[in-house]
Amino acid sequence: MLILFLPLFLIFLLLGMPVFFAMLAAPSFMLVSEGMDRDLPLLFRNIYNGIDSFPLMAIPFFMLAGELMNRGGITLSLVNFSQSFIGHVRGGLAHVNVMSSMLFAGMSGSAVADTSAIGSMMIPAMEKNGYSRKFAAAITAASSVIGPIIPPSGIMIIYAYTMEVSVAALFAAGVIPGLLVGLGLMAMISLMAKRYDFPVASPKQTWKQRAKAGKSAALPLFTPIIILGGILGGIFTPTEASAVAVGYALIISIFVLKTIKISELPEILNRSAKGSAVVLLLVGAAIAFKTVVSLSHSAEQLATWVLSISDNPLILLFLINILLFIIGMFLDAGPAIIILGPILAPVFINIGVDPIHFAIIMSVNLTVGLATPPMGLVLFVASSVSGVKVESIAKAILPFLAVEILVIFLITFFPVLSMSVPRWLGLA
Amino acid sequence: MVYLNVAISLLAKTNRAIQKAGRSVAWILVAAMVLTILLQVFCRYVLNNALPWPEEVARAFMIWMMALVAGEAYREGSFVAIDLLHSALPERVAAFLKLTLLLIATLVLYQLFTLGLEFFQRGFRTRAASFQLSRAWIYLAMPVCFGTMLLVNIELVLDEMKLLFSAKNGQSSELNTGENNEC
Repeated sequence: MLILFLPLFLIFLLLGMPVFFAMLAAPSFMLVSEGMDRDLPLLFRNIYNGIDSFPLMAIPFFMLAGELMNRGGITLSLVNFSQSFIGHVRGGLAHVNVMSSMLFAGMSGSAVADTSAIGSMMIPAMEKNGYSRKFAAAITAASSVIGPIIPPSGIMIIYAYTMEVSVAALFAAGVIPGLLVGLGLMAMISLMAKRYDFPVASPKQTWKQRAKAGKSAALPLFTPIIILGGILGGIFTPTEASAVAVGYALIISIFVLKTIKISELPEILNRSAKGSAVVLLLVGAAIAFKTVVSLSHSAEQLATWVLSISDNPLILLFLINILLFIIGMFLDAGPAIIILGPILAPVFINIGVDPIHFAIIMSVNLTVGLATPPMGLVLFVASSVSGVKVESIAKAILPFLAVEILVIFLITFFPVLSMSVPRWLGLA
Repeated sequence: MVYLNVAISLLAKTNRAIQKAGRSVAWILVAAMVLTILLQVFCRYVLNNALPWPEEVARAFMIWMMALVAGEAYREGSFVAIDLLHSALPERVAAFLKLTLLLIATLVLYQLFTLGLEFFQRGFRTRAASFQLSRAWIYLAMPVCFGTMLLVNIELVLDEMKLLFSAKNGQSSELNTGENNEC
């Protein structure tokens, strides 16, 4: 009855035990009660083996690169660059917010970093321009989920590592879904702009002015080219690319823009150390958890049960999207992927869904969950940046969530949207 | 109650000292990781001469980095949990539930700590693949990681017990939460 570790794990989680402990406590209790104590050291060894990984090193590095970029004042140049192109249309600053998020997403792999970087700059600016503060906070939160969809992406690194798929393929697969979310949000803004008479941000810029804004944003905009070009072109491994991104961000912010002092570095480095320590421990625990999933044959039993509902992959994918969306309302994307990936992915791969396609469905769905109430991490960050209550942002974000749900279903039922770039690059 | 207060303040002091020491080394390890990987990139692509050791060395730095700051991250509440239930329950019941969960976490951390020590001792039998060092010195990071987390966890358990006791004695629990935050 080893499989009972799954309900026990769920009970621990719902009672409020941190995911890390629940992932270890539930399997350990069941192993001991089944007289399988000798497997406990195996559990421990797998935590260590899970953490002792070169691909995972990209997580602290991308966190650090994002932190350096954010502190280094590159957000301002991205916003100015976006504004020079679309500031003159109705709802200009709302569009600028989304476009800056898309650009920022090419350098950072985290929705939280995106919300705090873009939000602290755009929310006051949008309010000054005549938008309500809660609308500004809502569009910031909604657009920041693009962060982990457009590569690089912390969530995809975790998925790729725990589920043994190629990070490069996943990164490539995220490009079109990320652009779709961004363009979808901009389409929704255009619809709302006519109806609610949104303001224009600035007069139309000449190409000369745009080139000037482009020049000052050129150094930061080069980062996604190094990261993506390097990884997708097969020049760097994702970990090497992330280290190069850190080196590049350090040089820009300390020596070129001079926005970070060397004396500030220990604090910045320690912040990324702490952030990544939590993720590393979670991944280690997940690898141990995965061992017990296979020891208990729970994935096979779950597969039989799922297939008894229907054997049509389309119906099952529809149902799984609903399940993931509900889970995403309560749990952060990283832990949710760590817990559910090892259980769900094998079931869907067996019925013929491409592993990369399923990874994207799961990553995008759970990432959108970051902006859904009641437990959306990004909503809390947007609330603390804007001073608007989470409940108010949660209401204002609904039209944008509708767009994101539409994109989830589009990428679910049209695999070509996620698979074409990795196939074109020969990664899938 | 007096003993409990003394124990909490002693533990809090110890934990703060450990965390300060951890912080002062962890950032250097992050910097060393970045430099090691950049060196690897430089040697492979510019000098066309890949070095055998940077990957393994950087991984060792990363494990130690994690070990040195994990306790602090745990103390700051960075470990994700769904705690919706706690705010829905009556205060006493929630405190009791939290204490139970913390006690289970103690068991887990104690188990991880002892397994980590065994792991460390066995590490003396093997050497790192690409440099001259016994693996035990890398493995040592694990008991350090779980040991420091265990100390933080015991502090959290005692804090929660204090909260429960004072609620029983009819003292304002708000006051105690205040004290709690100070440590």
